[in-house]
Amino acid sequence: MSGLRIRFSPGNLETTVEQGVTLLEAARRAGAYVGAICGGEGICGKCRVIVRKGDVEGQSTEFLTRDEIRRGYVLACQVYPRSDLVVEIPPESRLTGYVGIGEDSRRFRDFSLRLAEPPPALSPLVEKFALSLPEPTLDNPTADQERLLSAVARKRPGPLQMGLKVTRELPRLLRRCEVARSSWKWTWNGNVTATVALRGPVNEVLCVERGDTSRRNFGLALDVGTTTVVAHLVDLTTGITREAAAKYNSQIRFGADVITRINYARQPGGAEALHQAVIEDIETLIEELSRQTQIGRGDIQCIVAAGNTAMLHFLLGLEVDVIRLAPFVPAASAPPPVRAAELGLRIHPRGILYTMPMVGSFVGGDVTAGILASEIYRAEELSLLLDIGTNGEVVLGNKEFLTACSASAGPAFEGGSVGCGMRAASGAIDSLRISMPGPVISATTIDGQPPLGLCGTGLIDALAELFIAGLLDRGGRFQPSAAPKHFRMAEDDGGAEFVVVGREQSGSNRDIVITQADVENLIRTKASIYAAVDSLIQSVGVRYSDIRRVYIAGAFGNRLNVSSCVTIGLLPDLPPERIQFIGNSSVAGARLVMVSRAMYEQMQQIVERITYQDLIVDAGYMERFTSACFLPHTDLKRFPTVASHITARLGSALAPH
Amino acid sequence: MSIPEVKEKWSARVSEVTIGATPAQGGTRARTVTIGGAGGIPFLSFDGALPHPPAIAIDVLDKQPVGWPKPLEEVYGDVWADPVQWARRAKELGADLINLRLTGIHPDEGDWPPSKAVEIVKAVLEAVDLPLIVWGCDFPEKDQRVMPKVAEAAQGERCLLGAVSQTEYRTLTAAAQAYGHTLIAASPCDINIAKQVNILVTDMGFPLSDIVIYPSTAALGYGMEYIYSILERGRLAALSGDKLMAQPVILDVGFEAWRVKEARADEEMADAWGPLAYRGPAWEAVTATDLLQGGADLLIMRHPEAIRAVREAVGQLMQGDGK
Repeated sequence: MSGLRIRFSPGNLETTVEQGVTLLEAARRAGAYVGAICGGEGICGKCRVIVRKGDVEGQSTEFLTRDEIRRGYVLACQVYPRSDLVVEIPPESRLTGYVGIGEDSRRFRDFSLRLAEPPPALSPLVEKFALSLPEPTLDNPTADQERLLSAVARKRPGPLQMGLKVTRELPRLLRRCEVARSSWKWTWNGNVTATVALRGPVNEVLCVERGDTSRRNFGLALDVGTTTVVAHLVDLTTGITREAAAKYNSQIRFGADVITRINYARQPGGAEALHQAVIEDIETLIEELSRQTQIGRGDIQCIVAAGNTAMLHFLLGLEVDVIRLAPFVPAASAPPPVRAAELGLRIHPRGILYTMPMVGSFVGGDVTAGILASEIYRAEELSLLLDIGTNGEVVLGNKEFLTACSASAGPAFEGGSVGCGMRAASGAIDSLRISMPGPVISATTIDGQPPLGLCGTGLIDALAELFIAGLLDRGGRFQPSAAPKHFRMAEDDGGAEFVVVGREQSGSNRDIVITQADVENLIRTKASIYAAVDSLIQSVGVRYSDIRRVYIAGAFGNRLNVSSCVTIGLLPDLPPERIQFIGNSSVAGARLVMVSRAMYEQMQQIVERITYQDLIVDAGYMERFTSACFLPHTDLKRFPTVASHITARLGSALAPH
Repeated sequence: MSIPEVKEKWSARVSEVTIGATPAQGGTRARTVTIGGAGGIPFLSFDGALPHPPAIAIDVLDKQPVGWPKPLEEVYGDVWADPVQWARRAKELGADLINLRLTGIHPDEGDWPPSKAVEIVKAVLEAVDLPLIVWGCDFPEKDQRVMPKVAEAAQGERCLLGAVSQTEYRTLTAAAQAYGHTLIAASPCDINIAKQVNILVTDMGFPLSDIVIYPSTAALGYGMEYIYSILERGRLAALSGDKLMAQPVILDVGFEAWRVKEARADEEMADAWGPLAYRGPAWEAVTATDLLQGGADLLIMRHPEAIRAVREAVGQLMQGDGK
């Protein structure tokens, strides 16, 4: 029989599929984005769609209410089309920000620009030199190539190389051939521009152009995040970011976290699909930046890519499975510079892609970039860098030492594994206050849109505020008796749920709630990060009060509330002025390296200085994790500020122990 | 040549909990039992005072147990259909306290109403003048209905009620507080969770000084070393000044020791292991005496021979302590 026609709205995207294909797969083929955090295993409940016309078969009741099922809701990954279908993708399942790249660009650009200025002494990885080569004579019969190379060497000392392709073109670039009747004449024109790139220990002449094009020299600083891909188009003659763009990593289709994607890569064609997804994302960003700035792709000479180890492996098409399996060894920790064209990235045809070096399978090039950008590698004072993502990376150190570890924090702060969680996109609740008595809830959403769910900052606020309001006990159990009207019983297990926004006010026509399971996930996530910090602190033998600076990096949105982070015990209880949110330090570090060869050198040294601590073999980690699975922590003495809040609430009779 | 001083100096001691109340104290018990108070490591009385030897409570069920092995049947078989008679037997066998388990209230075990549980508790209190420990059936919804009634009925007797946990603590804590009882705080072999339960309970206003820690128990050969190390770490923390670990410890030795096959298999099944009549009590006694070394203050036990052996061992270890 012929295929089934499936039409998705909004966007009117259509595809034809054979029977036995899930609706989620159909959406993928149609190019319609449906959020699927678990990658189609039916365990996240995020791929909610509404079947408007036609029949599907399959069970998808687990995550849906009876009312929703009546209205045609299904989970796209759990049902199979049985006829032609018209399917609506509701707002909460859409990857907002994919089409509207502009808004996200602005949001992400602002954070990453914080670390962007002023540039260090400019010495970009790729430079353009306008040269004026003297015409060869019988007295000075040096060959064209040597003539060029010696002129370049005067500008940029050190070993030089130049490929055959460029050498072939060189004589015709330096001369004009004028044909007159049956004879011809070569006219010398020595004004050319040579593009020189650092390639390992030597400099390479990438290309030679006629005339002076030295003003047209651009590079792309890239952060390939698990959730977001961010690109800065940097003018290499000034070191200033001309424009920035960001989009969601479209690998999310294959799973929200790194491990799910690595598993997907093991399917036939899976690795290639993941590789292509990230290449296409970067291509989209280049296209967008080129359109906005009117800078041609051919004038982008290089890319510096930062990202966690798995993302950089996907980008380069390296084997990722080895990362996941003991003894957790990456395929390469410092991949050599390669031609971007080899990966299918269309910048200058001979342009180079550099990769930030990685420390290990779970401490990647994003962390080395963060160390560089936060400058903790040359700080006098003891500093802590926390990169909070699906994997939480922690670095402790100063100019004397650097030690790093990584904790599998889970995607809760990015909206995964939380029922009403979402990424920091339009309509996400990004800050929240609860005042008692009441409780009276006030919240803000990104772009002021009607609320669709909670992003990381909103969830951190919610946990802190529920706790301080007395609606959560220190073990993270709801206390419905404190505000009975704000709790409802969950349909599935009868557990208590806290209603943040009722359906009449939400943008998705359903209640935005926080469940007991959500709270447990969030507490485990924050505990794993705090326990990782604790492990480093203990292993080095310092006290929390010795930490003078704390840098928080991550794609949180700009409303990260430091006090909420301390209240839930995600961050140590230090004076707020010591804690600084630095946004996307990964792209900032990539940019620094791109505009400074000194920084490129520095980065190689930083990688060698880092001592990696594997928490899997740290016997004390589980213990630290359990004691951190409490609000804010089992040992309240570590959190004197929070203790005073609790005492104020419970009354002085119950002073902390 | 002088012998170097090897005494440890501890900065804190285990807190004391008194269970039961005499008529002068508003109850009807003939005497009370105080546990805890240790100022040093178990049985090293030169380090710090050990004012109270470990107390032993004997298990009494509210209805006839199923599957108890022969050595126990020989001791209790004639009385175990009646909790009152069983409690009397426990007293005759030298129990310091009665440990009453309300098993019949469990929805799968009879689903008795709260009134029946109250009746049994009252009858046991009337028949035997020893301090009383009462456990629910470990089915939270049911315990939340039954235990407040039990606590009310036993008001003034200062019983030890079990058990609050990380997730279920509000109802029982409130009941113990309202009617003047002490509380067992249970945790699954994890020091941090033990502390967390203590914090949750005291955050409700319940005094830390009325809590007894139950860190779970395991029998010899079945992970006893895990419990041992938790006991020891908890005790060292207590002696070093950790107030959240300073509560005395109760262990459910009888229940754990008598469910392992070494204490149950008779001679027909395990000929080479020797007679069950000796092996069963021995298993319970060895489990108990080992765990006492880690730091335990109150043991729930079953077999009189095991209890005799434990008391004898404790007596020898504490010889010359004036106790």
